Amino acid sequence: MSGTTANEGYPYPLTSDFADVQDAFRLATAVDADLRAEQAPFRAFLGRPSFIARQTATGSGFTAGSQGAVFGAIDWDNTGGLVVGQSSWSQPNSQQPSWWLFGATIFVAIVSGTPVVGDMNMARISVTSTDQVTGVVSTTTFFQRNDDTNTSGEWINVFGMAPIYQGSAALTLFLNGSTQKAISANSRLWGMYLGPVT
Amino acid sequence: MAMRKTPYLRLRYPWTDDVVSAADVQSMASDIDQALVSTATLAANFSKFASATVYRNATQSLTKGSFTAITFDTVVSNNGAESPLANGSWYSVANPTRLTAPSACIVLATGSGGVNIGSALGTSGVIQLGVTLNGASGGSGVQGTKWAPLSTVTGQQWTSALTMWKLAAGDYLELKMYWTGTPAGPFNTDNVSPPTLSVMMVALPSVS
Repeated sequence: MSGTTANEGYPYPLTSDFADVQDAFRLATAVDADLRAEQAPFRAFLGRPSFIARQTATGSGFTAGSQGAVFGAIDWDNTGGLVVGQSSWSQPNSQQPSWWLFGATIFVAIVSGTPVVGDMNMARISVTSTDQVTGVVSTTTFFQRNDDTNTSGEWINVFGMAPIYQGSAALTLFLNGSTQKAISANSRLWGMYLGPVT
Repeated sequence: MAMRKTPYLRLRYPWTDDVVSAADVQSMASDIDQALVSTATLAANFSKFASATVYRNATQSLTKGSFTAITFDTVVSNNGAESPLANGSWYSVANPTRLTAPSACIVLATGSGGVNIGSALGTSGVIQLGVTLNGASGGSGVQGTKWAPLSTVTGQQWTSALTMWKLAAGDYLELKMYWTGTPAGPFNTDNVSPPTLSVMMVALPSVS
């Protein structure tokens, strides 16, 4: 068994040899490994890492300050980064530095009182990432502000794209006003992998 | 003839015989052939992730206080039928408010649209836009945005939302718009930058 093909290096017996089962075994396993490797990028793309987390209970009311979303349901997750009851998504440790797109809709619930036009409602996605060399953790934030109307229950849609490594993403509501409000059930945080950081 | 199989693509190869027969080589060649076909299929699917974009070219009347599904009259792209991952169209004239998932998938969906406000909404004014699942008007079937334009402003007021969904085959997304305020209305959707709904498959719930 001393011959190999020109491009892929597949082993084959020389014409002077008897072909035996070992020849066939080596050739089959070499082709198998090569094809598996060639299919890998396609499979990775079709199974793009992504998640959709949803809060299932309205939070406690507050008038000024901040409140983090707590996820009671996982609508979709193939990253393993979501845990029911937690307030953030964690990037898999095995993933290389990557670009991710994150988005969210916060429904603002009126807990008590009457909404006041112009009271501040603001949603934030915060993304933490770890520097590969120094280990320093940095945070990137994305905001959207939809102040109160007097019809109760604003909807805030926010999104952003960030490089992330051994990091996390979380969703927060900020308020400043006179009405007790909270993050409503069915508010969502989602994210999807875009590609590696080169 | 005892045959074993490789770990990944299950290519058959002879095992217990001392001499490889022509039938052994034929089996192995056939399996390699099929494996190459499946690799080519993966590559083709990879290049044809299904997507669709539709919009409402003519104005559509929006009744005050009604979260109204936009009826689309223009299809920019509707390539689900060309995608081996979808094997079906997203848009159908039979259900012109919907983009229906031909197969189970994860999608990114954007909605945008404007309301042409004929008279100022006043301090009680609201504009709302949602991407909605299976006809929902609230709850877990809605993602979107709601805000208040300046109380004295008139003319086109636009808004947009970026959303992500896990869809089963047959689930549909709609673009819904809403306004309220002091005037009785109705007001029309804006057709300079018309109401538009776009979806793109970004992942599959299962990958074989």
